[in-house]
Amino acid sequence: MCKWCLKHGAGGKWYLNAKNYLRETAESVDAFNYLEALWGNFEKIYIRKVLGISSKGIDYKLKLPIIGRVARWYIQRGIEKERNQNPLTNEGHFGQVIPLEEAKRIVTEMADTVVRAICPCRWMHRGMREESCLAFTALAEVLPRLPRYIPETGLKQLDGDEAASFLEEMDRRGRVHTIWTGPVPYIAALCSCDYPQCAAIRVRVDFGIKAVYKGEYVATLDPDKCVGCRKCAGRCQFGALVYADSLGRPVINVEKCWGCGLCASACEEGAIRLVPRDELPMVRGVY
Amino acid sequence: MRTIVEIDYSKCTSPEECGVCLQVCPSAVFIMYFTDEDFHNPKEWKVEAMFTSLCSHCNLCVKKCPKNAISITVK
Repeated sequence: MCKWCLKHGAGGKWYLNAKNYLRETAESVDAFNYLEALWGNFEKIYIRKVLGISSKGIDYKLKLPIIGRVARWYIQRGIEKERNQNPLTNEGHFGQVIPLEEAKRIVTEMADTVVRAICPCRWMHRGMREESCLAFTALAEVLPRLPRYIPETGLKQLDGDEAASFLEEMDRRGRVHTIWTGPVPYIAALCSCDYPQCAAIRVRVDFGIKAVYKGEYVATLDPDKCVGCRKCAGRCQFGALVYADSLGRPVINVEKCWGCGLCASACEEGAIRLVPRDELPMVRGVY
Repeated sequence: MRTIVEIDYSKCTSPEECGVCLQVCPSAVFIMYFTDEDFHNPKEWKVEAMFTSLCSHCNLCVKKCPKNAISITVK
């Protein structure tokens, strides 16, 4: 279990704690004003100055010996901040990867209102308008004031089954399911991400800034069940699963595995299984 | 080695309608952000090369830019 589970999980996983989706929780952390500022200024937050240093070419600056380490520490501290979060510096806003089954549980059992919105990351990174973000109660209420995130068909409220089949479709297409806080502990959105269009996966993979945490699971392969069909090959976005031709089956590097379950959902033989991260000493507690 | 991606903003005037560089770049070096104050409904957009260390010098953006506004230099 990660530290957010210990703080906000009520004994279980923090994103499966229904309290973190309640309107009361959103009100207690002032999520409405926070989310309006966060989504409204999304691109400006990404390109803001960090400790007076312009974010343009931030990757070079993060490699500088001392300044880079201070900037990295400062950004990380902001992401994990739990009180008086300032949306304009991305405080208290981060995500975690979750497998499909848990994502479906969230949209059917936990979240009250679910609407589909335009993904701000892809709009910023690729200039494309794609309806791949599921926004929950507080965010769904804020979105009508931010017209650029409203799809052409309007903000349609999805029931649990519609949202679940949308997630299945996204999973089939190879998207990683992630939940997003706004601000922690309130969970405001469930996105279908892919590298490098997702702003958080991009900064985590390329620069090591933990704006998104790895999932609670890792994928393991049962070589006896694997038939070598290669359906899992190419599903992994993090370079953890590679099809080893000489073995006739894939090999999984659990250190690189994010526990998104895309390889497992592609496997028709049930040879790839998600096991809790805590069961493997090598990756226990590594998020 | 340091990559510098320069965008001529006198040529690149409406990136929100074009977005070619954003879409062709294999490593998503560019980002697009708004420059006006009205964050509810922004009108003025600007493209910036943000993650230049990930640029592989494939020059796709230089070739595909309809306004010839992008230039890449390596120092």
